[in-house]
Amino acid sequence: MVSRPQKLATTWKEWLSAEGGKLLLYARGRTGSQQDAEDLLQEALIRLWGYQEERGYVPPDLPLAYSVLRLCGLDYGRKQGRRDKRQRKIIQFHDYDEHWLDRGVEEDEEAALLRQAVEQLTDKLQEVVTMKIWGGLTFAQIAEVLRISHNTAASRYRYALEQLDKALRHLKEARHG
Amino acid sequence: MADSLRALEERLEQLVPKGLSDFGLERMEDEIDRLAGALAMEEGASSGPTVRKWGIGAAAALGVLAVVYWSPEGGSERGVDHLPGESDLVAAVVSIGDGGRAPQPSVSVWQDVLAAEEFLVLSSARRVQGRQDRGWTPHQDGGAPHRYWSYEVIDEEELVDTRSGYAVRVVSQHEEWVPVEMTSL
Repeated sequence: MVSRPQKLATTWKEWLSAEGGKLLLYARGRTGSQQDAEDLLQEALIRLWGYQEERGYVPPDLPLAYSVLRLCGLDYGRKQGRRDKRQRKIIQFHDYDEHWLDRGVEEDEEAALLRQAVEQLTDKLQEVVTMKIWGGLTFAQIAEVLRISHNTAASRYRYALEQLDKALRHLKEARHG
Repeated sequence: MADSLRALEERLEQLVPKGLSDFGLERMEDEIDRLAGALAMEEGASSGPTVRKWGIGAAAALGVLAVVYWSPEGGSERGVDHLPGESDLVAAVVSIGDGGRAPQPSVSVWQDVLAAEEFLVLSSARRVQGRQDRGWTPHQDGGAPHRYWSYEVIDEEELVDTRSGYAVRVVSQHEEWVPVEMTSL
């Protein structure tokens, strides 16, 4: 007979399999490497398990997971220091290819440029885009996670799209002369 | 929203977030097992029927599963033995019974515990230490070059033979090398 903790472990693993990629993408925006992002996600996972005690240890909904991950990310940022983080990002970027978004089989040049543009967005814009596009959160949920107003969340998202559009055009021009 | 931004939004939705690495996923699943194991122990300790089901010996063992004797390599200390064929695997039998009044189990008891057809996994934990850059390898057979990272991994499992009530903690240590594909920017 399968015990309750064993069932919970299975449910959490299924949850991780379904949501892990979305959360990892957010974590990548807060860290300098895939390895650090996975460390951050693991830390958030442990905290979430504890938070879910009062809900019978069921896996959390995505907005809560983003909230906790964000808090872990803030702690991480404080520990690393902004300068160090920027430095590590640059080293990582030039060290070898480690994109956050997977390369699709049929990926075209525009997709590659778009991916590059997303990775270069500022943290505030990037997190809104990440939660909206790949997390599927509503502006109300994003506002709650980031503790900002609904309108601010929507404005940041729109501004991020405009920035991406502009960056995409610049990257295309730079590539094709 | 302008049509160009809507089109951009659709293009973004087509990009797929990169998933967890195999190693990262395994590490997190182990963490989930550890958390669930701790919950099982917690619930077992506070649940009479469950404790009775495991037997008094196993229940007593829950309270004293704390000590592990670590012997890095080759050594054999009191209560510690190396598993055959696994130079880095260490098993230690912990005190069993009623508050220390039980007889000290022999060193070889772990063999009986591990040989038991049914044993209960009380907990399972994996600790990952020290990442080291092991350099990279160039293209091989037309494949992409890889950079290798090595991790020192320590696995710990606490097992109880439900028939005898003997508990054993198995600690294994090994190095895992994880290749990361390198592609040009």
